[in-house]
Amino acid sequence: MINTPPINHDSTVMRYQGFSLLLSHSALFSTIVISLILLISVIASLALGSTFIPLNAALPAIFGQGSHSTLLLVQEIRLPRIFAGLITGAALGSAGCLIQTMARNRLASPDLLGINNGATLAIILGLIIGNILGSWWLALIGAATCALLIFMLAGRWGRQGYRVLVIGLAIAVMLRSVIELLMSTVSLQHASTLYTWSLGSLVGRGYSASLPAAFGLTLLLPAALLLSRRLALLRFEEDLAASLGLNVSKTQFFIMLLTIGLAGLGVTIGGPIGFIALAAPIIASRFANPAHIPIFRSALIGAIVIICADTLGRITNSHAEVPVGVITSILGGPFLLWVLLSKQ
Amino acid sequence: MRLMVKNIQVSYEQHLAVDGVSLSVAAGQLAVIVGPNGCGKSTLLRSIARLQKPQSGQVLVDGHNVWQLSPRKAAHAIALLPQSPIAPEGISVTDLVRYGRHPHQGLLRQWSARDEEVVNAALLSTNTHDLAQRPLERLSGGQRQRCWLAMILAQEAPLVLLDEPISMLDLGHQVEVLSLVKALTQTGVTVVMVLHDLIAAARYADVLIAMKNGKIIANGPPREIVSTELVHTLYGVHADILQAPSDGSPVIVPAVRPSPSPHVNASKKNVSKQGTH
Amino acid sequence: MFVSSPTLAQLLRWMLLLTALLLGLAFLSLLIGSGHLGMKDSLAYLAGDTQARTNEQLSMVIQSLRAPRTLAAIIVGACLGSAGVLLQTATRNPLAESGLLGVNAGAALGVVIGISFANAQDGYAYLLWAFGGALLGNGLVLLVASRASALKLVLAGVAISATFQGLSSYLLLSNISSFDQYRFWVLGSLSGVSLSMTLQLLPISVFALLLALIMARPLSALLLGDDSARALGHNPTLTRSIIALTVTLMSGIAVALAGPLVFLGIVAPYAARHIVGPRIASQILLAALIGALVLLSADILARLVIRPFDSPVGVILAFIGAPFLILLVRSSKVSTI
Repeated sequence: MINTPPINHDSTVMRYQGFSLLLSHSALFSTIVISLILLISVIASLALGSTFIPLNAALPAIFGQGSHSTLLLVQEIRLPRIFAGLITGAALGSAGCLIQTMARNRLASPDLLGINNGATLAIILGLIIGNILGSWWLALIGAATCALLIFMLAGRWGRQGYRVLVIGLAIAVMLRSVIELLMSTVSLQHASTLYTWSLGSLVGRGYSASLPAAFGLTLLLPAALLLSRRLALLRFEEDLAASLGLNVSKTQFFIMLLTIGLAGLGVTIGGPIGFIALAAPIIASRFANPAHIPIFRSALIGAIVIICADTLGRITNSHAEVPVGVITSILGGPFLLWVLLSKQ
Repeated sequence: MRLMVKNIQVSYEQHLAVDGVSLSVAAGQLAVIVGPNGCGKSTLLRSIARLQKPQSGQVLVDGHNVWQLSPRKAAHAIALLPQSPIAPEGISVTDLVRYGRHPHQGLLRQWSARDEEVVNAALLSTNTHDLAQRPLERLSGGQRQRCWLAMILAQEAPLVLLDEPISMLDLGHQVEVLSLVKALTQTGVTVVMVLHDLIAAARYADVLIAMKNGKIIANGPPREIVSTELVHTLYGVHADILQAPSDGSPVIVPAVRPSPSPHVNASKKNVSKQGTH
Repeated sequence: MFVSSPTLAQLLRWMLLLTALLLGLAFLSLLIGSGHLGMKDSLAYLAGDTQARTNEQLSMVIQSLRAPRTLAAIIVGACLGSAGVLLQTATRNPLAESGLLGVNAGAALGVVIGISFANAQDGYAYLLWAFGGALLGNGLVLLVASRASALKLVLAGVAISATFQGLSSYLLLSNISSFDQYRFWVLGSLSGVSLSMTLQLLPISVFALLLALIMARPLSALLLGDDSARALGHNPTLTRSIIALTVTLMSGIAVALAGPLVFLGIVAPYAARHIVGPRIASQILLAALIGALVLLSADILARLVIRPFDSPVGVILAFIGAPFLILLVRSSKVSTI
């Protein structure tokens, strides 16, 4: 009998009676590193901005100690905004991971599929028709309706999701046009608010906006993690996945449901912030073993990117803040090109 | 595991691909399905694999109707290796083989001792143990195919279905893979394989199933059914049938046409015409 | 429609038909507007009625608003249509068009930069900046096209578009005066296009179209593969470069006049291919005509849809193009890329 090195020399197995758990060392390590980076970005975001607050004042302010103005700035403005960024980034990052895995295509993302636009349109319609702004469930409905439309038109998922992606693209453009049309006819007062929202912005996003979404996230993200085993099989072709015991259509359905939910949550707080859902999973995959699907790490990285982009938007322009959505769009293009051109 | 197919009809894209096919394969046998392009052999295999539901008829494994099994239960019984399979990018050999254990695992059963045993054994028996940590995409075609077979082995299914497992391999690797498959049947696993290479099929199969236009036109041990008439019916080619010196199994030798066919002269005429376009 | 390439007579017949249609639509375009002037008055003006002719408002509207708009629509439609043929043939991708691939968005960014920093005012200046931006966009497209599948190219193009749009938004946001002025142009709109700019760009567009027709033969050779093209005496690299420049020029002209439009470069070439078959020169001619037709119709609709407001023609195009694209993808012909 050849002395074989254990198959999982890079993981720890814990067994108890019939049950067993597998913990990958690299996954644990990278998650810790990424979490630390997140912590650093949060702290930086607390300190930086149009008013610079040194750390020895910012950190105690979180706990209620310090001058009145510092407390105001930290607790009423920056902290809620950072929280909003965390939730948005996590939702978008994980949604992107789910859809890229399912489509077996790194360029698949909810923004490209027009789900973001569907959510935006719903919010705009809500404003115009019912004068409701920022209802979190409205964005979700918009995202879901759009996704439903895409799937009805696409029929089946098809090889590499080609049909779904192109149809999603077409619908994205169409929805974008409707949005622009509505914005050009709406009153000036609404137009400027809407315009900033439609660019993707975390300005003034308080807990009232982000707490419902946070709640949704605590439901959907663990659900996605539970499904990750089955999701991993979807990376093979459907025949092989089915042969390995996966109920392919059911799994695809649930993953899509989760993706729509998460993407909708991501849009509901700050509007359609582009590129996070595209970039976060790609970055996460650089930290991860190719056999794993880094859903949680994508969420963390999504949060990091948003918080950094938001901080950047607050410090670049001295006149006014640049909405985070504009920053991510600008950074996203070169990033995407780099991804496309660095492979093979 | 005994496989029985009872009179199935399978339509694929509005076209009747499999028309009233019945067959039976005993446990531990190697059955090979052959036939010209478009004869329905892949569709037949996919129906057995539970991927394509027949419009009528039944597929039974050890007496159970496969369509009444849940996907998980079916995966315990049947394993399929599709043609030119795709693996996730950058995956290592070990990771690939581990996926074979999926039907036996669960949320809280992520890596049992048995999983480890089986994967190790699969790597050893396919001679891929020394490739274990390497990325799959860097391996040669023959090595990759052995790794895929290791994954199938890890699934521990008593019925294994292979769709064109050797079509991209050179002779050396073909023999390697086919010998592995043959050895597998000797452990009691039933294997049903689709091959377009009739010559290899005749050498290795225990049962040869010849299809044309969705129907089975011959079914039995190669020794009994491989004949000049069969080859001609299937492929329109004239062949002599010899006997292998080692084990007496049939060796098909297609004839090289000694004289130019009427088609060649006609095409020569067309060439000169095209020049004036 | 035709199983093999149609004869010259059939091609001419189609061109005559489409040109007649185009002229008819142009006439209609002069009659219709989103304002309060009725069609009767406009008809009288065109018929030469002296009373109508002395009506200052009427003359202003027809001469300074509708006429340039009509002409611009024809120019832009023709440019985008034929550019679409060139791009699709060169990249062998039925979804390639300057709108989706980000070339138009790059051109728009160029114009925005020109407006914000270089005080670009007239048609030539616009074109220069648009051309520069389109060149950047086109360069990126070619870079990606050599390394990516057709689907990836389109997805990358959409992402590149988004980046350019983001940059445009950023620049416009920080410059309030330009924002209000160009808010509609940046969506793709022919309203308010100036006669002088249109007349300045007309000869250049004719030149670009001629260039495209000249490149038709080398382009068809390119379809056979670089080696075969060389064997036939062509220079693939030179061909590609000239085609890229032509597409860039056409995209620049289109964007300078109407802002970034999407989908025209898919619809027109597809229709042209169906009518006229695989001959590239014929495709270019017909795609130009069809593009002009589609855009002009869309622009007329844009004036009617939310009367008395003008809606951006880009919106109307999206409503034509998106269902078209969806139907295209659903049909089995394009389902495997």
